[in-house]
Amino acid sequence: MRLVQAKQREEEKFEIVEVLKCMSCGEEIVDRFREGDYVGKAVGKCKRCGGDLIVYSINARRRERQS
Amino acid sequence: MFNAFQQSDITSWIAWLILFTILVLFSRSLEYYRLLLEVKKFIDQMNYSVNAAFNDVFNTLKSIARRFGVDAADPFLRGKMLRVADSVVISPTDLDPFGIVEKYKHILTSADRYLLEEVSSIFKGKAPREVVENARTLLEILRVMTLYLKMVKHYYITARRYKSYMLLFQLRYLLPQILEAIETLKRALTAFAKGVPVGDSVGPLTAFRLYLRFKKVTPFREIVEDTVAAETEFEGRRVIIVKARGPGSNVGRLDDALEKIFNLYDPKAVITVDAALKLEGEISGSVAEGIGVAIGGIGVEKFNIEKIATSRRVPLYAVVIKMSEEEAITALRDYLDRAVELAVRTVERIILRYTNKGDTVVVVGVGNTVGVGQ
Repeated sequence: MRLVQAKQREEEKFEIVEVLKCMSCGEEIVDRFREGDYVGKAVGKCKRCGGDLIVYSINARRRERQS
Repeated sequence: MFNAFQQSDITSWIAWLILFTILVLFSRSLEYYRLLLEVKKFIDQMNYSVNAAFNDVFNTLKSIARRFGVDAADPFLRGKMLRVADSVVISPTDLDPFGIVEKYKHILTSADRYLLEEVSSIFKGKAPREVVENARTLLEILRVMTLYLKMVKHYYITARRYKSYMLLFQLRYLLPQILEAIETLKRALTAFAKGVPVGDSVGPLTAFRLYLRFKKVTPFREIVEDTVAAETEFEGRRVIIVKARGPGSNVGRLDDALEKIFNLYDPKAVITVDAALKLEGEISGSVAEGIGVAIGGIGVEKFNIEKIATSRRVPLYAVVIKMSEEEAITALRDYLDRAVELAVRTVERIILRYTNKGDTVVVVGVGNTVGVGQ
């Protein structure tokens, strides 16, 4: 049972983020995951160059430690 | 005095002998009851996890129904979920193994359709395809969790009925692994409920990233049911990229797609990219390349792809990204996402090294495409 608790604690350390990427200039923005988004979804225009912005990646990464 | 000492010594020896005899005769029984208690504790934990998963899935389906304006009454939804969780898929007989792959394919396709129909009927056709597909996977996970619990209970009750120490002993030492599998499946529900890519999505993700990098000739189109393909160009080669249709939870019909492509083109190489279970001690996210078809499952698609490629003498290259079972079915970890970039470079290198300008190459992104569109 300790194993179950340890796994749950480990899981809580991760958060899901999405990486938006501009298909023209390659600018990347890391944001919180919004439900309904998926990799390949067009989410608007790049603020820097006006190119197409798509969801390039959705992944779980370790939460940064609170200082 | 000497006699008294001798007397007490003899009594103590007899007492020890009786105690020793009791321990020898009943130690197995004592151990049996200890194991019984331990197994019961594991089963209680499993019961708790499966019930929690059932409630999670119930609430998810209920909220989806509400979102699409469908009135799914609680008893109806619970009844449907219990029916699906209890459903069985019976493998075909292998008394005559000839044609068994076709039979497997037929049964698995039918099972897939049955489950999709059951889920569709909850939302009365109002929910989009990807939402229905994700909900289908939630119910599938629930079905597997229920099956694990049923099996464990079966052996526990059998061991108790026949007072089988050995059966209980084996069960006790298998239970931590089974409990871990149940907990992992429970955590997988979160990823599929939210529709985020999982570790197993690295194949379709590699396919999609290759599509972004290569010169596009045609966009992705559904060439067979649940499977899309796009034609691209890379360093003078025509590259056909194949993956399951996303972003719903779907693994596609990759063998059927490949058969169709082989009828239309004359490929000089087939490259499959998939997640592979790492061995303990191997590093998650390491990329390996090799020969053969990188594809999991019970082997139907693997058999068919090997058959098509062998009949045309087309070499099969494989690229695999190593990960644990847990990583394969839970939300895609960032280091696996980085491994996808490495897999993309590996595919490019294989294309450049083993094919010539003017050749046609097929790249297949194998795996569940949940959260990965096209």
